[in-house]
Amino acid sequence: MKRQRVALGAVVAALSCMLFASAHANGLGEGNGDGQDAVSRTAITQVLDVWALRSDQGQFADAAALFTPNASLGLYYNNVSAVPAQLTPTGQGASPNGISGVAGAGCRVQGRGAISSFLAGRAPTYGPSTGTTWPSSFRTTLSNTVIQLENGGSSASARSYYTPNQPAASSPQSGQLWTHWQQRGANGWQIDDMKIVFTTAQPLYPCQN
Amino acid sequence: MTESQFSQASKRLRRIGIRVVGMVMMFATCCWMSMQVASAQEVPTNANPTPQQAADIQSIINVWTAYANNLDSNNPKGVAALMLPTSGYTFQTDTQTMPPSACGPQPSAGTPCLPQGACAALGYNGVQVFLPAVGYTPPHPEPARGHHSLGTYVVKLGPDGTTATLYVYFNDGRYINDYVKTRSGWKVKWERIIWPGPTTFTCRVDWSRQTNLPGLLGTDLYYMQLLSSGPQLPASVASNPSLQQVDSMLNQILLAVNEQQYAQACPIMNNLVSFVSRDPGINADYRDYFTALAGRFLEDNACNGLSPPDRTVSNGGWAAAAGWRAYQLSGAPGAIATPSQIPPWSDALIRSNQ
Repeated sequence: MKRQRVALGAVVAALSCMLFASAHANGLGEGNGDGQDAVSRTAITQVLDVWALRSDQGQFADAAALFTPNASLGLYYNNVSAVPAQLTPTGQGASPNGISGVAGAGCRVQGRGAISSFLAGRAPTYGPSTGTTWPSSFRTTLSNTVIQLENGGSSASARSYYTPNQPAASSPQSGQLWTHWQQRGANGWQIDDMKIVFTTAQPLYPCQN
Repeated sequence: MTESQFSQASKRLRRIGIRVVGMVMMFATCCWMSMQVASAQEVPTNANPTPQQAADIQSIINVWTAYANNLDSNNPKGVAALMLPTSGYTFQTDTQTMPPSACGPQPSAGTPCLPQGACAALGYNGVQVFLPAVGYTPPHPEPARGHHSLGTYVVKLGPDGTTATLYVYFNDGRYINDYVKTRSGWKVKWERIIWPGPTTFTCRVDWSRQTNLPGLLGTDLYYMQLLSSGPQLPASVASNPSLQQVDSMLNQILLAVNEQQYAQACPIMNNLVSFVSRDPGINADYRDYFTALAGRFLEDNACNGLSPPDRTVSNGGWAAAAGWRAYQLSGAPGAIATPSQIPPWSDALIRSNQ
């Protein structure tokens, strides 16, 4: 009996050890300290860059997979409050494929499928159909990313400078990318809201197909 | 059943119950841990890194930030120090059809144009010679080439945590760099500079034999890497899983060289030649060229004392192919250097350039 107890004790101790090691390796024991924060910031920055790269490579469904299932993506010009209206010809009204107009400016889509379709509509004057290929036309450059962790590190807001179409032979565009994030367990960090805020009124993305 | 018997039975049952509950908990815990591991493997790229992976990602990005700073501040040695001693640049376009004129007039000991027309600068000294040759000269920063603006870094870590690939954009194009983790941190194994279209960038580089670092080692290994993983490989060749083993062994050799443990490089190369020679799935042309380069490596690095396991199984015999092509490539038929004639792979040799 004593031997059994010793064996059971050893198993429990080994299991505790494994759990501790696992938690330590995943940074769980570090709470919201600097170590875990740094890991979160690295993950968020990497996912942003992966989003840019996948979009540039035409992997729109893969790019949309970086969002939460019900995430939204909005396109704005100059003012995210959408007032006053700065409508562009393509920014008005409802449209098929789930793309709906946002009152005042730009447009917004919701859900991974709609986000994928929206991303695929980027720059219709570029791309293979016009004889240009990635990344001659599409080199999305993100820089100066600032991240604010929220809710004890389970969500975050980020802002990046955004240059979506370098080298942009005919229509250079730039703006900012505002994103909101959720830490979703083993799935890691996912985008639940993205705002593309252009400083020009030239739409890189069409708001209707 | 007496009261004491009942009490003993009750205690026994309780103990059994505790054990059963413990086992169930242990089983559930193991299942949970397995699920965590399984789901972690399905996570989108770098969305949920471990602390070690996050640290590696940051280190790899920092290496390339340092590259841009060193480049823009006229510090070629600083650039070269970020790479393995045998590594360097290759230049190509998205379509890998850089016009031959882009290679420019070839200096007598200049850079060879790669099959697709791009060019290369390899080796610690090669990089240092190359940069001033293409315009990175004082004063700095000079307007034409003195401001590298980088953005959108994506790091793809290898499964074993010792290799990685970095994708990053710069002003005029993009980089795709292979990294290897060494004892002195992450180092670049191969820097690919990729322009979106034709460029007039010339590759007038004086490298390899003109430098203290024996260039043959760098070029041979480099071409072997190209052969096993280069972008110009036909799909049928690239899909051969054996080449992944070849690439893995080449990585070991590169690491041994970088760690200045040259004695380890020879036996690994020897095994590699044996592997390539025997694998029936490896393309014959590839095998011949590879064994030629490997043979020259073995000779140049005084590996002659090692006997390749079998010199006759390859197409025509690896020794014949290696010998002939090695002399052809080296331009010195019959001039096999003896170990005493070869500059020793000494620490001093490399340190003198750092």
